[in-house]
Amino acid sequence: MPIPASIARGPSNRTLTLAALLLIMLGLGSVHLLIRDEFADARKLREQAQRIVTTRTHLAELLALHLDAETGVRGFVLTGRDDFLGPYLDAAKRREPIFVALRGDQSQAALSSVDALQRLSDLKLANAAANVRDIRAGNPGGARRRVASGRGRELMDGIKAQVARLDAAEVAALRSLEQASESKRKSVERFVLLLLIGIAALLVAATVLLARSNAQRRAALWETRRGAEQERAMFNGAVDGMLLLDGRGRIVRANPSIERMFGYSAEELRGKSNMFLMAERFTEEQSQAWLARVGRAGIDGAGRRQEFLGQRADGSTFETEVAISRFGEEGDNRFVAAIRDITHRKRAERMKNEFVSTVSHELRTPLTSIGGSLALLAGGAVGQLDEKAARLVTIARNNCERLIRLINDLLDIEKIESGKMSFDMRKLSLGPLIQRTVNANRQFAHDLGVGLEVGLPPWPQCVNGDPDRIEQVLTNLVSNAIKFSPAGESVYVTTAQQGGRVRVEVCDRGSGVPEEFRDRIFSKFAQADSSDTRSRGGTGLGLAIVREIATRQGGSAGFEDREGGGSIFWFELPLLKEQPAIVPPEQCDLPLLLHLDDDLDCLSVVASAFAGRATLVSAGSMEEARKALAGEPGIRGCIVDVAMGSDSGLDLIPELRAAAPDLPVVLFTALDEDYPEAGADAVLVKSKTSLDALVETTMALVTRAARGPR
Amino acid sequence: MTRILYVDDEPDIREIAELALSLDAGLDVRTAASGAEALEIAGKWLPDLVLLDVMMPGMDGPTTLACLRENPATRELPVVFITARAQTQEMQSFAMLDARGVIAKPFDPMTLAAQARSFL
Repeated sequence: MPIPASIARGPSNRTLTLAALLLIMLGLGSVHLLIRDEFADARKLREQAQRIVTTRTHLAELLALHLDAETGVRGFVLTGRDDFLGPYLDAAKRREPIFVALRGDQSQAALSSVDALQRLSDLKLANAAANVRDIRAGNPGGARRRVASGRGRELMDGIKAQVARLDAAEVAALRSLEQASESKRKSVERFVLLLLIGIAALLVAATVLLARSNAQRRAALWETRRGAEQERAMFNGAVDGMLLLDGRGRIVRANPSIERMFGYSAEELRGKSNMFLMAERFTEEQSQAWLARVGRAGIDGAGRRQEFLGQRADGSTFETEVAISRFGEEGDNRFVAAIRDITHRKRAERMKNEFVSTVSHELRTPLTSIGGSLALLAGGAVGQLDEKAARLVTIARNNCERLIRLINDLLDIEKIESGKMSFDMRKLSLGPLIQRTVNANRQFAHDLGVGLEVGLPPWPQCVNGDPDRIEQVLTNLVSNAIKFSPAGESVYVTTAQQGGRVRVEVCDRGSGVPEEFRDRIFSKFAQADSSDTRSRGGTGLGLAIVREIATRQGGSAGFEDREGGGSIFWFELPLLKEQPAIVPPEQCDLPLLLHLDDDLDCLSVVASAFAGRATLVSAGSMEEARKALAGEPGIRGCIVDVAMGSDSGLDLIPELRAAAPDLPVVLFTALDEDYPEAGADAVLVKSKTSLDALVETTMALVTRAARGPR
Repeated sequence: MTRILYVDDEPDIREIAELALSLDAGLDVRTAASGAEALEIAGKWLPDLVLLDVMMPGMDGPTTLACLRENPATRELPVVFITARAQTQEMQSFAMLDARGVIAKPFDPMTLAAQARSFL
């Protein structure tokens, strides 16, 4: 089921929500910092205010002390009673600590004002002290004159004015403190308000996102549920039997069709291996291997099918077709197996095949009579026919042959499809087979004015196949090419080897394969133009048979456009691996050569290069070479490698010379050096010499040696 | 004269084969319509070669051949099967039945005599 788009958008929502929450956290963090700063500021403010209040209290106290002292001293001057001196003595004692405190609270600028105040205070107390002295010395007149001079009042006014100045300064400081505090409070208030608005907005956004995400999740959940319901409905309602299998192939669920088909209840099947339903008994390992193999194909939607014999609860068996598809993560696979009862289809197929077979056979019998009679008539077995009669008999014969071809093709198709076509596989060389087929078609090509040419390599191309079937394939392709070639053109049959396969190509100069026909050219009864069947005398089955026969022999068939117009129809077969070892009967009389090389690939390549010219006895070591020389008296030449691990091929040459002085020896080595003392007839360097040059040089030496001693 | 016995249940094909083989003046041709008739004629006439259709009602070609082999008089008689669509596998099974060869139907009547002679 496809993932709903809403789910696909989920991560972006989550990211947004997370971002919003992060922003909120950041906001709260900055509020915390702000409040912390604010508290620090407030504490400072409070301390300052406290100091101001203390200073003002000190100032008031100082003023009160001086006023009281003046009043006391005046009383003492007037009465001469000592008890009036209490305030004065008190002031003289208490003013000093107050000044110390005042100094401690004041800034540098204000200290001078305190100093001035102290100076006035000193003068005032000195003035009072002089009055007290005069009274005690019995000079009340001096004291009264001093009082009357107004100096005391003057000093007292000065103190009052100085205290008032200092107090005013403190009041001003307090006011500015209040103002600063007020402005800070307002800015904090604004900031907090903005922050709160931001957090509120973020909270709203986060809520919206969460709500949306929830809605999407709900929608996805609903879709999943609906998908699951649909699938359940499909699973249960399917006409085919459906099994849900776990990774080990055990049945998890079975649909009602399975119950009907096999006679087991779904409950009985749960936990059983899927093979429980098959007549063939496989091990669990085989079952798993099969599931893995078939499931792999199924995941691509290919839905590979396989036929099995099913077994019902009552023991009876029936034919089934099983398609497996795999789902789930790697390592947690599950499989869905769709099982179809194909009993009826198989019966119908068998009936059809039997019908085709019977009808074809029954048609062939009268056609044998008709064809035979016409052949005898045309051949003059009952006397010479006149020209018109001969023409009519020819027409009848051609059409009779066409019918026979059609029936043969129908029978072939029926045999292929019913698996009854047998292949007599054997190792064979394609060359002679191609030549024979082409020769058999020469007359036909000649009749249509089409040339027929063959280009084959000199070496054998050996395959494992049924010669009759390969000939049938080739005949089909060659006769098609002749039929579709315009008169005057040639059909060219050739082979090409590539990647362990040999391709036989039949090239024509016909009109090519129309675009719309390319897909189905290898289908049954496929012809580009329905009139072709009549005009070309084809059955529309030939290429279908070609492909089937090629495929059944491990090969393939196809076509491509030919450069310059026309088509190339081809079939491919796997080449035999042990190619050089195959010596077709026609090559038995080729000269035998020993090839010594420790590189097995080189041995194989060189053996292929000599195919058709000589038969190579390949030796991978000195030991093998000696054995070969002892066992093969007919060796006519040697190709020797020099550097072979710890051995040197050069060491073999004296032994060769001792046994056969005239045996041609070719050094075929990777080392680009001179070997004057080696006694070889030729030295060829691998990187500088083509295989053709090796073949030609060696064969020339072998031929010369065969003509007589040096 | 070389004696050839042609066995086929289809009268038309029998007639054509007889006519085709008769084109060779050196052949003496007789026909049989069934396996049983073939056994009877072969036992008495002792042909040099029997061309034997494979698919016949009642006694088919292989059965007829087996019966020929049971009769000491015809044990060594060369037999060639005539069959619709000679498949490799069928050919091999015929070879195992000790037939000398196989001629595919539909045969070319103009060369039938020459084909028959090649098996002698």
